[in-house]
Amino acid sequence: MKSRYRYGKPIPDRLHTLEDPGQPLAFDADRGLITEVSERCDVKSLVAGLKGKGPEESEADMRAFGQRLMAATIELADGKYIDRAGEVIEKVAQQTGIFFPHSLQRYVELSIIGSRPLDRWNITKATTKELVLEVFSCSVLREMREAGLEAGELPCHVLCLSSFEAAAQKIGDGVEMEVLKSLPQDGVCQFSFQHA
Amino acid sequence: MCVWCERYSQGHERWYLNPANYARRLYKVRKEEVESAGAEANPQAAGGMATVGRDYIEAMQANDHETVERLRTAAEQRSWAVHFGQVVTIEEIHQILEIIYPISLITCACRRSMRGLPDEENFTCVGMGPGMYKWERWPETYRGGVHFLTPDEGKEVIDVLNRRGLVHCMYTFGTPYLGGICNCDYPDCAGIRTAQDLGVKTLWKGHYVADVDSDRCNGCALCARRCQFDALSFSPSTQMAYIDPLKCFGCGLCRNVCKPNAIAMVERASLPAVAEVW
Repeated sequence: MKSRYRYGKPIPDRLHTLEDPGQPLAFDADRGLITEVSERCDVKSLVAGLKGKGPEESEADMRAFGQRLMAATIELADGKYIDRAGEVIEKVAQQTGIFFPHSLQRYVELSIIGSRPLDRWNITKATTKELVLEVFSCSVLREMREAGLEAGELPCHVLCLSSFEAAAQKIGDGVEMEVLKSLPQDGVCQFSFQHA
Repeated sequence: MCVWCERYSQGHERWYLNPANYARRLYKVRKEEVESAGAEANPQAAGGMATVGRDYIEAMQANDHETVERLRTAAEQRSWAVHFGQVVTIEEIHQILEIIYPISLITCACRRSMRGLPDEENFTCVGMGPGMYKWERWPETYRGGVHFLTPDEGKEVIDVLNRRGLVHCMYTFGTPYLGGICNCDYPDCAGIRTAQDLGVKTLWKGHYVADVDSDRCNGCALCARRCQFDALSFSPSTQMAYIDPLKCFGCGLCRNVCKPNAIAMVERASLPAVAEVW
């Protein structure tokens, strides 16, 4: 693709300008989205329901929870609680043809903020080939510990993976996922998303 | 290896080739109050390199070395923590453009203030990373608007700027987060001006030093006008270019116009005399 750039000049048909100068714009995650996602996908209730269940049944519950969580996040983040950052991400992706990593990163971040707003996490790599998410403190794990459930026997990253998988399907852009590190043994959960 | 590589390269060849230094969260929880366009100041970008003020200039003129040193140290510490630059070569920029996204072409705040250029003649700066999706938050910083480019388009833009004779510099926005590729010249660029004229190191030298092979130099002098750092001179008697390695910032602009390939970029670390001259 040729940029048609000439020194110092704006590129024809490519310039984004302020659409409505002075108009308030909301870029961050809406508190309403957090409230609604938390209500629809309550981590405490999920963990309470795991008591007495075997690993396979627990895993199935977590997988279903993850899928439900991402479905709720996408519905709210693209509908009732659409934010300006999301609109611009979509607009830029349409223009450049590059959807990875930020279309996926948006859903991943909003699903975590929505269901576990107090978790500590960060994005440590976000190239057009790979996205890496690290979760340092996870309320799902904390709830499981408080409920006396052993994380080693219940691979809770299934919850995250099924949720992120649903986001990747929505993006539809050939994304492969991997868990590189896991809490609590590694001190961090590290998820890698690779773009084919 | 510079101190920034020691601190932030995490096993990568250079700190600015480490993707972690470009990654950032897209979201935080929205504040209660209404968020309005332009309400959040972005002084790092909007103020350019205004790291020292009138008191510094006055102390310099008065030869008050103690005050100059104190103010310089404070300015440098502030700059290195928040917003400073390092010169890179065009080859490195091409590598960087493969690991950053989004890439945006924006107007240059330095040329706006120094030259008074209208926006439609001033698209020479590159902003990058997730913060660019929120550019409308700082309409004064991104005056004139924003173009979003693919990596290949970004390379084309950089090539045009390089041919024009601009030095490519990576800039932090909260070190080590790298958010901008400035394309600079003297005296337009506040970073070069602050470093060259005021001796405040807001711009670090790059990892290379240009070296002339006198056997290959044909005396064309095309390189002489490319240097923005006063490091390159041309001897009328020998009809050859001379590069002062202590002054060279390693941008490679002189090398890029040398038709007989008499100028090579040498690793700074391989030259003991300048290995620690940043």
